Amino acid sequence: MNCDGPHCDMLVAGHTGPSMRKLLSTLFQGRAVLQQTNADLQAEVNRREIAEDQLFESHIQLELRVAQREQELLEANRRLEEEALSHQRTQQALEHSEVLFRRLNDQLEEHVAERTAELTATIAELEAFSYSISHDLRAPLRAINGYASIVREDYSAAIDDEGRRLLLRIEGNARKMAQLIDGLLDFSRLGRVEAVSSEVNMHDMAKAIAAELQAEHPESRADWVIGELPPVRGDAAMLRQVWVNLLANALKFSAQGPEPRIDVSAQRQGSEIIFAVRDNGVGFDMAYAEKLFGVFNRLHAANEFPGVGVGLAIVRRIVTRHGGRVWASSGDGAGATFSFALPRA
Amino acid sequence: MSLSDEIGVLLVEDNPDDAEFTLRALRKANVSLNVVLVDNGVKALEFVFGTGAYQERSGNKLPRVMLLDLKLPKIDGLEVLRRIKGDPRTRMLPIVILTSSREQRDIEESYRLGANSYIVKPVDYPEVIAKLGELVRYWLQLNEPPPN
Repeated sequence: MNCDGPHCDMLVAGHTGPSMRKLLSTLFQGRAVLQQTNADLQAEVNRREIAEDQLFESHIQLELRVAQREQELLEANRRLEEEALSHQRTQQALEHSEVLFRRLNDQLEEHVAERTAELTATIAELEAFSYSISHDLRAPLRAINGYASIVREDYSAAIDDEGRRLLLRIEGNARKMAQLIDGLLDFSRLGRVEAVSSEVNMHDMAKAIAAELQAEHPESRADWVIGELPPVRGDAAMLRQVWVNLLANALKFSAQGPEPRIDVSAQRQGSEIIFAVRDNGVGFDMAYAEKLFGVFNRLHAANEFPGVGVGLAIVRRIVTRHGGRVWASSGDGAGATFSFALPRA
Repeated sequence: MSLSDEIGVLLVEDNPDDAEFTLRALRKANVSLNVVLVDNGVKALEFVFGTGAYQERSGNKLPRVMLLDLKLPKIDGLEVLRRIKGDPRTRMLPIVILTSSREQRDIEESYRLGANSYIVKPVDYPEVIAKLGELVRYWLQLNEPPPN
């Protein structure tokens, strides 16, 4: 125990003894504790200060990050807004296109309706035209025919053979003209009639028609050979017309020969079926093959073979209508083959 | 023949050539009954109904058969057909349409209006004679006329 200084002196001057020593001891112990506590506190304060500094540091960092994040968010927001705006513009452009499209579509429909009306009107005109032919052209023909006949009948005594022959020529021409008109009407009627589609048994049809033709011309000893003919989809009535025209032609041009023979066959070729009618008759000059299918075109003289020359034109029209094509081949004097292709059923 | 006699055939035809041939055919078919020719629709109706130019026929019997062309001036054949078939007094008159038209719509309309028959005028003169002979023999001999 040390005791220096004035206070100690004072203490010592007034009080000495064991109680004083106890008191001093307690005081000195207390002071030590206080010093220790003080040191502890100081240390604590230091720690606290450091912690505070760290906290402040963190706070600054946090603030910086927040500011950065805020910046990023603002940026993202700005971009989103831009995108939204761009979307909106696209949407508007789309709606605008839709309006335009609808308008164009309406215009197109209007156009189609107009064109349909035009075509309908044209068809009506054509109907009226052929109606007129039907009435007005036939009447004078009948008159020409009739009066020539009447003259022949009533004035037979006054007319010689030559006169009669000339009158017959008049009648013959009038008859021919009537046939031309009928042929033309048949041809034009095709364009006015709606085609009705169904599966058509080509074999049975050709066979039946061949039989009919043979019955109508018993004097021709034609040999009909009908091969396997697959069915097709089409208008039965129209296809019937095709067979009638082709088979009748084949018969007509081969009947004069010694052994007339008509071959009907079919061949599958890709997406088509090719039907062929071959006869061993007089044939035709291939140089004129193209003209065969024209209306009223004939490659033989009228006195050699009857007919007005519209049958093949009708065949071509019908086959074309069915999405097919026709052609013919021949060596003059060596028969002819008429072929038509139709899409497979 | 006076117009008050019984009329076998009333021929309504505006074309003089066709009329001539038809009359010739009827002559050749030895039709013993009278044949009357009128050349337009108005006269046809007046004859049948006994009016206008044919006033004196009023109350007379109907002809045994009418041969009616479709293409007529003034009132056309279909209208004549409609009026005669539409009137109970004259509906029973047998009407044979005799026309150069083979058009579907003419055939349909004629039958729809009550035509008794539809004949397409033959193109050949000999056919005219033959067909009309058949026609008139059928209607005047084979067919029973409607009661008057």
